[in-house]
Amino acid sequence: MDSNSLSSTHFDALLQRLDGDREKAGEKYECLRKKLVMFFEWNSCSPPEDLADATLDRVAQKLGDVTVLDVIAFACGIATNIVQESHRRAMRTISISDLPHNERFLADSRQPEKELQKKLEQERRMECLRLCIQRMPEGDRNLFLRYHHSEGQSASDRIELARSLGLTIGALRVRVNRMREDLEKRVRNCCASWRLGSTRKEDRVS
Amino acid sequence: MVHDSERTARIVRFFLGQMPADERTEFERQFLVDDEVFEEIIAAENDLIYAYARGKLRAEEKSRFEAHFLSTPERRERVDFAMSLASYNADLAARDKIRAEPRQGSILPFLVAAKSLSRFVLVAVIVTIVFAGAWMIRTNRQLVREIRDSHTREQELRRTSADLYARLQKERLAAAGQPGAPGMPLNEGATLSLVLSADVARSGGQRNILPIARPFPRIILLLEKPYDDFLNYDVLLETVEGGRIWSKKNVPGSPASKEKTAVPVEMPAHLLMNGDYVIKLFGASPNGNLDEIEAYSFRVARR
Repeated sequence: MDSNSLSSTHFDALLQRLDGDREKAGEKYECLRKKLVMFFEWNSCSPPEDLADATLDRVAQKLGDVTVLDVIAFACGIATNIVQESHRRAMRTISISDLPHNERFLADSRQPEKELQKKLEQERRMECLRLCIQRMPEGDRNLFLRYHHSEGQSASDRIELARSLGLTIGALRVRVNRMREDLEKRVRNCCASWRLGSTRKEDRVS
Repeated sequence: MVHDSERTARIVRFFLGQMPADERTEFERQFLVDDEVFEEIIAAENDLIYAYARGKLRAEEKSRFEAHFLSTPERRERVDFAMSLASYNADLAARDKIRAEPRQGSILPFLVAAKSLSRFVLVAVIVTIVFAGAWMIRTNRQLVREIRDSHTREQELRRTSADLYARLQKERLAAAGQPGAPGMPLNEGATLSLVLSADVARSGGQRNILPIARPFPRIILLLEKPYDDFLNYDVLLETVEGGRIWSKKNVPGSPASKEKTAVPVEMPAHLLMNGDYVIKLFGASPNGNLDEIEAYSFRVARR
């Protein structure tokens, strides 16, 4: 067994520290994982999902070795260490684009086929976006489009929109953001199914 | 990009790598601990990406965004999505703008003008139809009036013609001297007239009798018949056995009443002896053939 892999005992101990109720503990675990993924992404560490899992594994293992008063703060400290490790690793990695005479390696990206492929991808994404927006519940769709439709995207437009809905601007932004996340996921699935060869629109939009 | 609060501005500084290390560490701890802060950062990040996709970032923000933010494939994918969304919304905004306000130089004013013009044309057509309709009704009524007047005049003319004809007949009879008018001097030019209706004998009516008491040089038979389109007729006098006695061509007819035409046939009186006769009227058809129109029978009784 790998020394870094998480045993069920350690995992149970971590859940227990997050919440006494196992179901709530599971939700908190997922929430923490999601935050860590974003934390690594915002720190330009890749791949963020793997690094988030590595952080949680380390936290769970340490819980049996050291006294931890605040699990979240502890996880934050470990994540920061992992960011530094990741950056150090990245510094040791030579990117293809940094190689001398890289034109030879980058030649592909300038080929017309690649350009055409990119254009097709954009068109597919637009088509999927249209379909997915049409499939949104009417109330959500109207709010989503009004939010993004605000002329110049000015702060006052959005504050006014939030007021008309009886929300704070922060609450409105969060609400729209959830819609956008959901929409983005659907569009991604739609594009993927298109790439797999499905031609039926119904299949492309779940 | 315009920020709606200092907090948003701080989040943008975080994403563009403008936050000092200490502040950044504290900031990261905050969003890992506080769910609400985390949600707000996510939303602000999406707004930042969307602002970039719409070209709403200032030059410095834009260059920092590209250098600092677009460093992972995941983020570039999110920017691609945001660009698609921006494009979709731009289309919607353009459509709304066209609906809301006509802009100079666009095709919309032309369409509006065309719409107004077509409305004007429609109104003009309706007005023209109304006036034309009124004019046609007026003209139609005038024509109906003229036709009615024409009928009235025709009836008056027929009546006048019939009166004149009756008077002429009366004067002729008076001039010739009626049978039973003894002592009347014999006029050399006297004529005996008889009005014959279309074959009364064949229809079972009373036989026409032409009584000749004196030696008249001429006899005039007025052959009455229903109105037709012939102007001239050919006349043939026969015995009842069919023996031809006399004929005459191109005898003109004249209106006797609204429904009747009279054809005066003048013939020498010596042709008629006591006996039964038939006089036939022929009309010339357009192809030149003669069609028998009527036949009249009468008896001559010389005293």
